[in-house]
Amino acid sequence: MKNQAAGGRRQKIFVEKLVQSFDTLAVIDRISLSVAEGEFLAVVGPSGCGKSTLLRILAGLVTPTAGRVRIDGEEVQGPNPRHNLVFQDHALYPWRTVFQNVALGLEMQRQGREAIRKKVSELLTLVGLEQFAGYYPHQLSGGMRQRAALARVLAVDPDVLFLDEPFGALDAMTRLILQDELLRIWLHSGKTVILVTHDVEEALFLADRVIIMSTVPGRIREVIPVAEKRPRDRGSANLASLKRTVLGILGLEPVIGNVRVPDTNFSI
Amino acid sequence: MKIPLKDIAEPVLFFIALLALWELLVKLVHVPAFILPPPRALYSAFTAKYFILGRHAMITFLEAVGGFTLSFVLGVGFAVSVVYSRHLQNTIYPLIVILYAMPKSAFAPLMVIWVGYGLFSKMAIAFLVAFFPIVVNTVVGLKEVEPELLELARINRGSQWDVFKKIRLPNSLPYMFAGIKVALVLSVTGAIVAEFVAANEGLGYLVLQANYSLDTAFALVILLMLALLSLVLIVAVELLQRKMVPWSAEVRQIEGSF
Ligand SMILES: Nc1ncnc2c1ncn2[C@@H]1O[C@H](COP(=O)(O)OP(=O)(O)OP(=O)(O)O)[C@@H](O)[C@H]1O
Ligand SMILES: [Mg+2]
Repeated sequence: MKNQAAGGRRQKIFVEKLVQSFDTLAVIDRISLSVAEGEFLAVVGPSGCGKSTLLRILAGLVTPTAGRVRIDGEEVQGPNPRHNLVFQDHALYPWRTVFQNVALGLEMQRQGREAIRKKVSELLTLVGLEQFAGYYPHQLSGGMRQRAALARVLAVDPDVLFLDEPFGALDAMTRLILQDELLRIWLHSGKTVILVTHDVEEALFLADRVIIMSTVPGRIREVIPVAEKRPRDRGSANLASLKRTVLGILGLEPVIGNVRVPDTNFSI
Repeated sequence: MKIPLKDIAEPVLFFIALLALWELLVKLVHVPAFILPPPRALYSAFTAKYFILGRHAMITFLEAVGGFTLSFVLGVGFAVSVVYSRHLQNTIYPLIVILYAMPKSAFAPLMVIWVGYGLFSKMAIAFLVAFFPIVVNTVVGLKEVEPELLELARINRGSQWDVFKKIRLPNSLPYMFAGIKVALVLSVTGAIVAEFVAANEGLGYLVLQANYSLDTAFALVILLMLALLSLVLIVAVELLQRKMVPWSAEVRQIEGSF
């Protein structure tokens, strides 16, 4: 297992005073952040606070208004297959079968037919879709689509993985299963992962650290380290109390014994 | 796909009832045959002249399909160029949109002067009417791609050619097929109108002849023949679409409603 201990590793992603605005709308406000190699980082925050925008900047799809992002010491200038992204709504190609979807990145990298076939079959087995290789996305369930999207990104073997609410649209059951699978894959891979999620339990179950963002314009309000060893017990008292803390910071639950100052940016 | 017997029997019975009612009403009200002949008169007109009907239908079919084919080849080519060239988008495309707003069949008399009296002037009109739906639909289909699908290609360093072949082109197929169906029906109409203007063969010519001799029964038979012609073309395209675009929501919907 490559990803057991989180401490004492070199820095992989470095974000400095990142600012993003669209016209007059400020979306990201001076975010600075450092992510260690092999770390699993989760980002939670209110809807519209700029989480997806943050990931898109990190993935090089959007050039930030100000500030900079370095990965492996190099400034991010544009997209790179080594730093790959799973989009909020799976973004499978409707005209491609599961197999062809997973093969896409490899095709674009001009890999040989046989190498592609081997790699894709391997990944379909990994995510449990080997029997559905010939299915089109519309013939799959929501969970299967997310698995396919995950397999597709893993196919190009990136060392940084950005996941934008990959399990957001799923039922609770499927979500738990996929979380376990993601954890298993990550533990064996040594990849650095940044996961955006609405689900605080998911963040606490998976991540080494949980970043809590403010309402728009998104700033980092708090960073919560989760020290517990993996695999974690979802029902543990420690996670439950961390959950209360996180929800409290998000303004969703009263923080007992502490008078909360309302967030000045808070709007309904 | 298995169609339940009831779904076949129902329309067949309905049409038989309709024909019977028509026959009965014409008899009871004593409608003159040159205004509305009974179905039986249509049948005898058909059996007497099916050979002529077939020959002229072939002509119209050639004109329509010839014009359509030309419009498909040029239309798709043009759509691709417009999407990939800002210059064309700024210059030729607005011109095309203006032409689109014109009644194309009004060009028919001019076409006789420009292209001549024969088949080609009819094909030219069929081409003109079919060209625009193909271009407009294909342009939209090539352009309206989910941004994430394009971004994924950027992340994976796909080439321009990859983006065209693997994303824009397949994305445009359902739109293209929608355009093709409209274009086919229009090209048949275009050919007919062109024959009205100046022709000595084709179903448009034939229907005028039938009209002059007050042979209403035969005129109606010709119209039915035209409907059949369009239907055959549409069904052929529909089948092709199911083969080529099995993933499209539109196709799925058609499958469900057939
Ligand atoms: N390309 C763009 N142009 C203009 N505004 C944009 C653009 N992209 C995002 N925004 C705006 O930035 C804000 C943040 O969007 P973003 O998608 O990053 O939020 P989010 O935190 O991911 O929300 P959610 O949790 O609902 O997915 C929104 O107000 C959105 O309208
Ligand atoms: Mg988002």
